Amino acid sequence: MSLQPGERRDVGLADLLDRLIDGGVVLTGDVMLSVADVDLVYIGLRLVVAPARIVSESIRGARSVEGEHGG
Amino acid sequence: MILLYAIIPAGQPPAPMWKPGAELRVVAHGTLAAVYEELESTRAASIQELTDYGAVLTDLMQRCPLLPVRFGTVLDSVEDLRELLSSRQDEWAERLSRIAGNVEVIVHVPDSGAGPNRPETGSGRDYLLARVAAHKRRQRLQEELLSVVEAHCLESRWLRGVDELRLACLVPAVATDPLRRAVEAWAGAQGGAAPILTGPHPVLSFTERRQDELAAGP
Repeated sequence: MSLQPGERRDVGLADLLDRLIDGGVVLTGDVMLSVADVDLVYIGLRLVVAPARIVSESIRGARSVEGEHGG
Repeated sequence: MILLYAIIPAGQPPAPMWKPGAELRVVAHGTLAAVYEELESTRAASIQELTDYGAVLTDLMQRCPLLPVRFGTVLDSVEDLRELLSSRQDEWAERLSRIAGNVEVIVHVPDSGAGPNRPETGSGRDYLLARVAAHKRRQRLQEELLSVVEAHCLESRWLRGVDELRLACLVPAVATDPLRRAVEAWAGAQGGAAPILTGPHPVLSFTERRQDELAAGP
């Protein structure tokens, strides 16, 4: 089964968000005051470490729930 | 207080930079510059904040080479940022030169034969044999995928993946299609599920030299 273009975009977004919190230049030493609330973000993104197809399904599911609650 | 976005070469003003409701600024020191946002105070990070941060970096990567900074990195002042640019000048200049003109593409390859996580049926010996077979299969897939991508990318890094291989590739921005075609051809010959390639992304997985390169020296 292959992914539709919209589902591929979801996987791409999940990849980007995963790398934003787990990649990039890391600063150590006195100059870094804090990494603001990243743990909270990470909890919301735990689906990122799941396989691509599951990520896509999870994002679709989350959107469906948002639609039901958000009108 | 400032939120740091990216390190870029000095003299390449990336304006106009987009972020709703915020003004992004640039400070230069020597051959490097940094893109940042003034914050009145730390604020609760949200998925929207993270998405906006990614949008800024994705927009910025179209304009100049950049070393993206991990989300949530906050400094006390612009003066601290200048000191940081000074202290990391050589390292970041070398890395910027290395990644210039390249983007990150992430390859997902399903690994459905990942093996059992815990014994459910059969003997313990059967369970262990199944785990060993799954491990060997994954190793073979990794070796094959690396041999496919190495002709198309400057560097690669394995990322965490569950029931799939996930490989970040540093690829020339103008040459992502050959990588895509090569991976799809390899997967097609395997007869397995189609791979997924995402990107181009900012080079978030390639901001530092690999440990083996560090050990080997400059």
